[in-house]
Amino acid sequence: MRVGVVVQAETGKFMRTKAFLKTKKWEEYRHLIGGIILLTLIFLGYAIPTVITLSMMLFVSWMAIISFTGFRTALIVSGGSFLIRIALFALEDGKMIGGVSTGWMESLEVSLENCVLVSMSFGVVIWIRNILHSKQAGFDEVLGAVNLYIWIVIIYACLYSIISRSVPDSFHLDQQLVMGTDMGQMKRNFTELFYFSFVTQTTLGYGDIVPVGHLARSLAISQAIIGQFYVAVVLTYILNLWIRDLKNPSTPNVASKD
Amino acid sequence: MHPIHHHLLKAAEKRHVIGAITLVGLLYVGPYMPESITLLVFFAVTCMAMTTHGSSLKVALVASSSFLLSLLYLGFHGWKSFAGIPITFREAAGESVVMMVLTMLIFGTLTWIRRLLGTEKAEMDKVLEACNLYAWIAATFAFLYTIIGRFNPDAFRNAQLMPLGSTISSVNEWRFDIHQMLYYSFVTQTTLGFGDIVPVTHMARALTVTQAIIGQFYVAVVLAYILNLWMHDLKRRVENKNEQKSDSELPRH
Repeated sequence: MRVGVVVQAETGKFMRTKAFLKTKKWEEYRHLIGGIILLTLIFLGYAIPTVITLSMMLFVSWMAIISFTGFRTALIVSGGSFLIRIALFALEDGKMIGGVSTGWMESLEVSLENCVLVSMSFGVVIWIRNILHSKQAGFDEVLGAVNLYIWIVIIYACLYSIISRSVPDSFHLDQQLVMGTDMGQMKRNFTELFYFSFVTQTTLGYGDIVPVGHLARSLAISQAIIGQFYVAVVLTYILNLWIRDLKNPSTPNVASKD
Repeated sequence: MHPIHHHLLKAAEKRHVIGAITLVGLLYVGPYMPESITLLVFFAVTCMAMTTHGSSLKVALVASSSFLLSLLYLGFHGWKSFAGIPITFREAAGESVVMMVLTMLIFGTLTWIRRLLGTEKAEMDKVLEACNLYAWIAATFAFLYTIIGRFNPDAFRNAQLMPLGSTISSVNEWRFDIHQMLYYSFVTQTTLGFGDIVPVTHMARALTVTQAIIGQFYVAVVLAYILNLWMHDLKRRVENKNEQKSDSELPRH
């Protein structure tokens, strides 16, 4: 009897969750959820394996891409990039493009990085196009813009990580300013470069991790430019829409969602 | 009305100017003052701003409970500092005051931002308030960094490649630490990033990165929002004035 009630309650809960997912109500909160996950990753990313960090990033990117283009496109883009990278590893006998050989765990990591890179870039392009074409914005869109900023950081972190794995001397770490790390230690590669990516995009530039290779340097410069112009262009655009909507509440926000 | 009350009310109107000047002034004269005075000034500034947002009772409750909890924590750990160094009762009280100011700053910042983004009309006072809040956020992060430094002395390193918090066992050293962190916090929030002080542990790095993002987006979102409202208000006022002028001119002719 009691078990039955519990099962019924659980089924009810499940049905409610399913209904909640079906009504697409979650889409209203997707920027908030994504932001919270990304913030958690910033603070706890070092404590969990890189593979899990990357999978969570992939999940966040999916959440947004699905609402823009649908499930199938998201699956094709990220699954395709993952499989192509894995297939390349299989064909090249586990070697990176630069000829550096890797273990199976590392090739999995690189493939995931590739996957996150491609799907997030895809998502960013669609998202920014969407933003610059939108006629209205609420506070949720402003939150989404903050989210998108972190997406660009992640994209560059993946790029840096892939580059530093294929060209091992791309980054110089000041041994006295960075705690017990050498770049050969692949386990911490991504975490370290994620931090570097943040420091570059916000134009902080502490100099404890420094790009040395040509490709790494040009990427760092381009990221700094993007970081500045993103705030000046995309964010300002959204903010202007938001403030205008606040002043003239006659143009309803709800119309675009229905 | 009693003249003192009048002066107090006048001061309350200018509280954001006073608060901002005090916070910036601390950057200049803080290093020459004893630690206790710096903390006292911080406490006074937070109280001043927070009593205008919420009731005094709430503020007193938050402050005293965070102070007592921190003191209890240190007591239960056998009067050892957060990093595990034995301390006297006076030093423990000092650390608890740091914790108290931090709690007040976090509490204040959150309520303040919510209030600021809820405003519909802005005047010069609101713009000053937004500027003040910027310094306030930097102070909050400075205290967070200080606490992190207390837990792990190797959280930050400076250009001399010495761990910043290596000698935090005595009261005199603490003063040095908070002002270093205040400087570091401003360098990070304005995204200057000289690199003379660098975060080393993951917690310090995560906080630094968060602060840099907040520093950029604060100027872009909150300040732009307030400024926009203010400009809107100014425009409307000028239009009203012109209308009044034309109204008053009409009967004369």
